[in-house]
Amino acid sequence: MTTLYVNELEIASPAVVRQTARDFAAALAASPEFQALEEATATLQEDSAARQAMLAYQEKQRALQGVLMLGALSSEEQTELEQLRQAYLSQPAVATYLNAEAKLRTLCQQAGAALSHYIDFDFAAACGGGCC
Amino acid sequence: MTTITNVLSMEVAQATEALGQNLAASEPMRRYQAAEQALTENEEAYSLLRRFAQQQGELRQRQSQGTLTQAHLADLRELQEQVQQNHLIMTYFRAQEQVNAYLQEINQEISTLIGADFAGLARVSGCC
Repeated sequence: MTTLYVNELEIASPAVVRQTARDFAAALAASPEFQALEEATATLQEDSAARQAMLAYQEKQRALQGVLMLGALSSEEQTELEQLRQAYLSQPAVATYLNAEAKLRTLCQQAGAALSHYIDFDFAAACGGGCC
Repeated sequence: MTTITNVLSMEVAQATEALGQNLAASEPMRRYQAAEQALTENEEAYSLLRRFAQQQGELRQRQSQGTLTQAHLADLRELQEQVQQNHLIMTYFRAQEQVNAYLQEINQEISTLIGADFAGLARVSGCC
């Protein structure tokens, strides 16, 4: 990885900025957090019990989508959905995956905050999404 | 910066610093910095922009409270026209849009390589 820096008065060429973006992506992809998520994803895909629990929860969510959006679930529907959610979350492969995802998210938030600090501009907000 | 990058591994911290410094020195960012400086150094333009932002906020609040009137909207429109006629403010807005577009391109480059939306992962949720 080539580390390229510029001084305050220079203008960085587009090619150099793109190269540092690629280096940054490579550093992220090589991080233990990223590797752990890749492994957790592969394990989850090979775990049929975890996949079935996920599908059962997602199907129920889809079936109840309209009522969920209105916040009008009956207590039976609420109980059933919660049981399916717990069955899904209690799968070891799912727990490992969610934990790995949370750690990668934390890493990206820290790197994003650092980028925003350097450029004095909110990097993540500039890239859309935002809120509400 | 030490407090932010020291939670990152050395490799990621170095790559973040290099990207951050180069982005800060990129042409869209330099134009934005210059436009921001020109705006903040001009008392008339800066105060007009602050009044406009403040009025927008007040009107959003009135809308949610149901106390928004046509007179309020007319005042905002008048202020908006003044903003649109102000060269320094419009240059600043355009520079801001160009930075947004540029950062989206950079994010796309990173996201393609890592196979996930970097900015989406970096966004701290929970604002609503």
